Amino acid sequence: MNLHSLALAIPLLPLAAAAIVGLVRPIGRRGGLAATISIAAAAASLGCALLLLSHTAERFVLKLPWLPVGGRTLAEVGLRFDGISAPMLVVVGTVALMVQIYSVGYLSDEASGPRGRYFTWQSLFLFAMQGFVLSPNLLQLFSFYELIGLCSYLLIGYYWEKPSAGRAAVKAFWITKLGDVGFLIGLLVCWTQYKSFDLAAIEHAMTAGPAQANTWLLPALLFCGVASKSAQFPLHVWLPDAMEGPTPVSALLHAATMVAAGVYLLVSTSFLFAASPVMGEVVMYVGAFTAVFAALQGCVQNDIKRVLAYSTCSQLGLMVAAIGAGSVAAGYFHLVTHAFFKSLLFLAAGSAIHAVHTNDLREMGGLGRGMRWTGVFFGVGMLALAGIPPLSGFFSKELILASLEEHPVALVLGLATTIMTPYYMGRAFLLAFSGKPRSAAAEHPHESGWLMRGPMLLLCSLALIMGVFLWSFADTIHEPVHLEVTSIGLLGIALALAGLGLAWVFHGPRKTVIDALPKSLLEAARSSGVDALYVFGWRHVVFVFAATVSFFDRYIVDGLMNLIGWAGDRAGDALRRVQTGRAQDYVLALFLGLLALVAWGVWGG
Amino acid sequence: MNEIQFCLLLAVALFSIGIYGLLTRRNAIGILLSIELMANAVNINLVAFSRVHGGAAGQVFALFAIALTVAEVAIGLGLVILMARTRKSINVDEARDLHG
Repeated sequence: MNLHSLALAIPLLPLAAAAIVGLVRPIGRRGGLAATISIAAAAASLGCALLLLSHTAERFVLKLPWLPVGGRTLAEVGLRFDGISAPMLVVVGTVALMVQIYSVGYLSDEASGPRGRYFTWQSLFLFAMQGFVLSPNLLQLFSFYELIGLCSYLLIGYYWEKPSAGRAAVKAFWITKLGDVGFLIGLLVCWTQYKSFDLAAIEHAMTAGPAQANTWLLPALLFCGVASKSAQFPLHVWLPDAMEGPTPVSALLHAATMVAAGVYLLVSTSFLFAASPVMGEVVMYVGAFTAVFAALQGCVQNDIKRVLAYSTCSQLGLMVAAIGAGSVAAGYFHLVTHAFFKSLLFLAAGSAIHAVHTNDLREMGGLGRGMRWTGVFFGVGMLALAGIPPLSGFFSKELILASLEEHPVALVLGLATTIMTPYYMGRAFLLAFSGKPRSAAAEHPHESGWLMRGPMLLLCSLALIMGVFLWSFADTIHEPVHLEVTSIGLLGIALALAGLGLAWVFHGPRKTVIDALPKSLLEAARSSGVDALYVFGWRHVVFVFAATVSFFDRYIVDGLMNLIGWAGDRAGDALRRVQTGRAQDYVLALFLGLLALVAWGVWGG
Repeated sequence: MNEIQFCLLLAVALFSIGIYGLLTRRNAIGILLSIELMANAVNINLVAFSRVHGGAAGQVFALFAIALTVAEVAIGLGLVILMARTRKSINVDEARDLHG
């Protein structure tokens, strides 16, 4: 089998699985069969990705013309395989496969029909993400970007009977669409500036062609799309609400697919950002601010999944900041390591939720005794996220801090995130797994079965050892990395340990403190000010504008039409009296008309 | 006043009387009679000009016109009978269902 067909198989196998499970009703109705097909396709797709990973020296682009207009093709559809896409294919494939296997155990209580639907969307999601990663041009990237948005909408709304889940799904959909409008305008700008959507062609035009006037415009518009998908401030509001979906979906969304798509877009278009120093700085500061803002929110959440959600948001901020600062390798490597340990954390949290049937940290406690495996998995994920050496998160975090070295403000924000991350993760871990049980359900938790433990075990080992692959990763993406012992690096380790220490001091097993902060401060932190801002904007700006337009349409445009109709109606009413219905009146008119004609003939003409 | 002028004046008089009757009569039969007068005024003209110019064409036309008038009267009377049956009246002022 040659490399081209391997690359083609990566997205097409999950698509075939989605089609079979989704369209063949008898299969879709049998949850187990649907899961088997979906998992088999995901495994085969991952196998292809792994085989390709050993051939990253090869780069190839397969293209088919798409949208031919007047003798030239507007766009092409195809696959781009190179050092950038290869690692992402493996990461996405691995996490998706693990999540799907885990889902079989997690959703075992569900009815068969919904499970068939679930695996259809899962496979479609995998297709969308792999297609996105392999896209060679902006138009195809955009198409798959939208497909990813649609799939996450469907999966977040999996428990659609719950009104809050439906609302969360719609919110995720609309907020990401809001950013995608920028992406869409960006496509138009891209065409006017470079006459091509092809990434390689744009890069070539930028280096070889004449200098463009507004180099900041295209990256700025693309960043709108990135910010909405990757939940950057102020478009992050959908992400905590997306926790309404099943926990494996959150793991997939927050690790390898939805939010990763934004960062991956940033990676594959990083040459555009590199060409515009202003946009680079904007991206960096937005990322750094998001990192701190979301970390602060993460410190005060009582829902274990929301803690993880804000943590994702914060880590994405770090990745975006690093790429903005010019270090693609740092941001990309953090994306990879984060994918493994964050999906591990979500799956472990899901395991705990599955056991106690609540997301609330206040009703957990002491789970570590009954669920040793889950406790260990969550602990490893926590340490990796905190950036404790030698776990994977340490390497990527150090790279990010090093990349921010020359920007003092961003560096301070990054370091602040570095101390808050271990604190809120330690808090969540200690509240859930240590101390005394705080509810009846938490008294005797049952460890999950091997269907759920297996995927977690694999992700756990990856979270432990991923750091070793840093150098081969750097070779693959052709970016240099320098990991040295610096004062900032040591400060990062010290802050991480300090954060864990803080968590121990405030929330250790002997304490029963849930919140370390005063109540009023907590209320202020938890109140979603950004949400309120959106509501205000919606009610007082969009609605007012819409009402004005609506008034103009109803009373001015429609009014003109109504006036014409009314005038015709009145005129007809006035003239109808001429028609008397008496035959003799018509004869008289006829006769007079004849006389007039005769008179005109005799005297007139 | 020669012969042709006399004939034409007679025809004008008949035609005018017919028009007057057509416009003023309320009785459907009266209207049919007025139409007959007008038709015959035209016939007189045809015959008169035929005499002046020689040839029989005008007289043939007049004969045709008479025959056609008979057919027209037959239809007209049929209409009047129908009207009398459905409306119990042959006053044309009452038959104005098509008024605006």
